[in-house]
Amino acid sequence: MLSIRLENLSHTYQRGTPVEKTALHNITLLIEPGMFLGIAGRSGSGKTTLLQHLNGLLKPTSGCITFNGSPMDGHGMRDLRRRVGLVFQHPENQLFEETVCRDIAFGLSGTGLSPAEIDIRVRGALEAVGLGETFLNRSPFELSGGEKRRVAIAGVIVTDPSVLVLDEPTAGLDPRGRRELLDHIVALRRERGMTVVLATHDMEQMARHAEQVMVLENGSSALFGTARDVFRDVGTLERVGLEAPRITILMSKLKKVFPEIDDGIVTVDAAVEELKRLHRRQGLRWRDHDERCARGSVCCREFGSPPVGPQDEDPDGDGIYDACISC
Amino acid sequence: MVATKKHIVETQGVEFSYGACGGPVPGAKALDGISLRIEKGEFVALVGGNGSGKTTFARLLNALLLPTSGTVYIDGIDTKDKERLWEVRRVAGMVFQNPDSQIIGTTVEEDVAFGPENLGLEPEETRRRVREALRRVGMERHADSPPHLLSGGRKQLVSIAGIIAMEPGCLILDEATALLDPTAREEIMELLRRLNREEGITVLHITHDMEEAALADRVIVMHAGRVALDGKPSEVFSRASLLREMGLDIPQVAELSERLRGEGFDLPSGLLDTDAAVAALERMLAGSRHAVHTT
Repeated sequence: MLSIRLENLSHTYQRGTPVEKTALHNITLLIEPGMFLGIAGRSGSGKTTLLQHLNGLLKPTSGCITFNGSPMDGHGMRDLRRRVGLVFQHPENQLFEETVCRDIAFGLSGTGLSPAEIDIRVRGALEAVGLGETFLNRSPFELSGGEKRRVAIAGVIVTDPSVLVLDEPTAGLDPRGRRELLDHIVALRRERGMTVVLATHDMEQMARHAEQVMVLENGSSALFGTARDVFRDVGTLERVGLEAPRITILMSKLKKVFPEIDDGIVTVDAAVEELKRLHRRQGLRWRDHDERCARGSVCCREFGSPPVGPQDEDPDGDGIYDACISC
Repeated sequence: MVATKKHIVETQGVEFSYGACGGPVPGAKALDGISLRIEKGEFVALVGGNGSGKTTFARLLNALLLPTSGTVYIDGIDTKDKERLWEVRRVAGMVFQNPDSQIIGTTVEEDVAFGPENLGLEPEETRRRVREALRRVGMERHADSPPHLLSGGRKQLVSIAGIIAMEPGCLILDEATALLDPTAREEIMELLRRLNREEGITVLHITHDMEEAALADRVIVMHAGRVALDGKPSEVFSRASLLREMGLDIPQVAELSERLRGEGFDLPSGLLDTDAAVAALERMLAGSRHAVHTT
């Protein structure tokens, strides 16, 4: 288990030169074990720079980053890179070995593991990305784009990192490829308790999987919170050049007419449930013709529409309100 | 069938195999009998999973590849006609996925000038076209910038400028938005719609993004080297289960309305536009509210 804490971390490229550029500005963030963290932001907002601090590829030019409470220097860099696996953008460009097996095993060279152990690990990693054993002896260069990418990711997870950091892992893949890759990452996290940090432009993907989301704008944190809270802030997202999932936009427009709609809907599943609930409620009739609720109170008359609250559901499913919230 | 000039793209029974050494599956047919017509001025989205043949098809349209059998006509010209190869390539301009692999000039202006210069135009005419193309994509302020320092989205705008400076009849974009962020994608889509509506340029946009495809006039779905579906976005995206089988998604709004219809909700089919869906949902829910008052 590894927790990573960033405190007021800033990074300036080419410091002290005429072309110096501050890519990250005062980022404070705690990445807890097992968390699924999404990093969103336009191209050039600092996502990649942030990710590259997480395994010590870059060091902050001010502020600090600590791993389980100690600064990076306390750990061996080699050890840190095993515990934080970083999957670069277009990782398939890094494939170089003659066979898939040797390519994946490369990350284990020098670990002192026996060939038998390496073999088990390589098979496990390949399976974790959804590729069968038939791939082991194929050349990585004859695979499709999506398969190459999975092999490259297997080459990182083979070291069994505590934290898996992925920089735009699904860019350029087709919808099935995107979905499958993400499903495998979610399963890995579940099985191994891995922390996942995912940078992506794909807001629908982010909405489906990330628990916490940080939105970067010009190197600063513009929004941070749960996916629900972040995507509900449609205005800020637009300002930073991102778009909430289409479904969130649709539901927030519908909310103007039906204020009782939950305003943190970020997936189609949640929207279907919410609309079914709303429809059911809209269709419910009052128990009495004089619009009294079951408890006989006249308060129900005050409502032009069915009241809001947990009690106004219809537990016996007879299409009749049993009580309104005021009763 | 006789190719007419009304169709900027016409293919008749096109098949293509990469042969024994090339392609993802050696010897297999990448394209297996494609016959379709695209009229001048259409805005067509071409979607399909990886390996469905989209890119191969695009490459046949500007004679980067020639069909193994069948015929491709571009503006009435058979792409196998070597004499008219350059005409085909001028008419069918192609923009690729990775902006970095198609930039050659040291300044934006020089990069955009590459195409028209090779058409053998007068320098004055080349200059006029470059200026005009940069204006149309909104990059005139960057004429002297080194293109490799631009953002990915702007590089793609420069690539498009380089194509429209050749005054093509048809713009073919092979996943040209796949590597861009949402704002840049939107800019490209807006530009394409403008070029299509205002200047009548035919657009063939190959994409994995179903929200983008939903903005086209027509969506062609390729699967295993064949045309699986071809129609208006509202028709194509109402075939949700078929699309999923082919590894594709449908836009979220279409998915929502399809699933609610499956639950027995009274919604029109083929909803794609957010505002139209909001209006339909509002009517449906207000209808059920009305029922409350009448009981």
